[in-house]
Amino acid sequence: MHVGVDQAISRRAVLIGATGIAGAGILSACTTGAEPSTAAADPVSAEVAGAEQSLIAQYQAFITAFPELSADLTPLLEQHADHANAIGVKATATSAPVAAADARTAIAVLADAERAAAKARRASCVAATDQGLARLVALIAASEASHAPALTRLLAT
Amino acid sequence: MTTSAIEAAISGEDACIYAYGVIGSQVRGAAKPRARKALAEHRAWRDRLQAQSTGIVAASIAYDFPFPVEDSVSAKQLAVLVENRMVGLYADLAASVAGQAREDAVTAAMECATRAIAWGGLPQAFPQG
Repeated sequence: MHVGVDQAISRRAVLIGATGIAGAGILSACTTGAEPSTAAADPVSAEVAGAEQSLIAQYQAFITAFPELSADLTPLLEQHADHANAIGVKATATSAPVAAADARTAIAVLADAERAAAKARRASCVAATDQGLARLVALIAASEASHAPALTRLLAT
Repeated sequence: MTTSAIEAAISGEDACIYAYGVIGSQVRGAAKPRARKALAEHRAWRDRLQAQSTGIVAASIAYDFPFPVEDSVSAKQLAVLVENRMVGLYADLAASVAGQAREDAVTAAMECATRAIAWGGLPQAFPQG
């Protein structure tokens, strides 16, 4: 049922291509003598990129603290890296990772963070002025919404 | 452009509703009410989209599935497939509308991706079928 690697890569290439076009527009505006401020990252892209880095940092902190979670958490961590790459804007985490007393608490913390992130991305999508970016952020919102039950499913086993 | 994205989403929901009729007949136990609930949710989104669309989208009488659906396992696989495909259609719709309509489209995409997990799907970075 799951897409093959080739299909996943080409899909990612399509998404990265779409945001690449948006980025090219910003760059060409700069070379034609536009205000320097227009060369800055789109605020929605910057917001999403920062939030993805925060999630990545939180996953990394829990994988370090609870190595037994690595096999389950690494695929989700990698999907956030895919989100960040597709947005294509360099950013630093906007919040520091929190600690958890045990592995189960860590999973619950991540599930809450994913739900909050999905809702925040829905707002980012509404704020996006570029259609390609809106589509990409809608997919990221859906992905993060789906991470929450994927995480809570781990607690049942 | 807006019309075509919304009509594609309506057509997708029609196919999804048809699929859930078959899925509901194949699954057993707790999956049965889950299929009924999903069917009701997809009908609600379809009606909501239809109310916003100026065109009339007619559902097909029957749809071909990409693989035979003749047991509980294949029925759940079909549910994962149609839910993830709906995510892609709702992302297209989100891109083509603005404001509340865009927020609604993202909400629908989030719900579809979440249901795909409930049916046993694996999370994807860009769920779209």
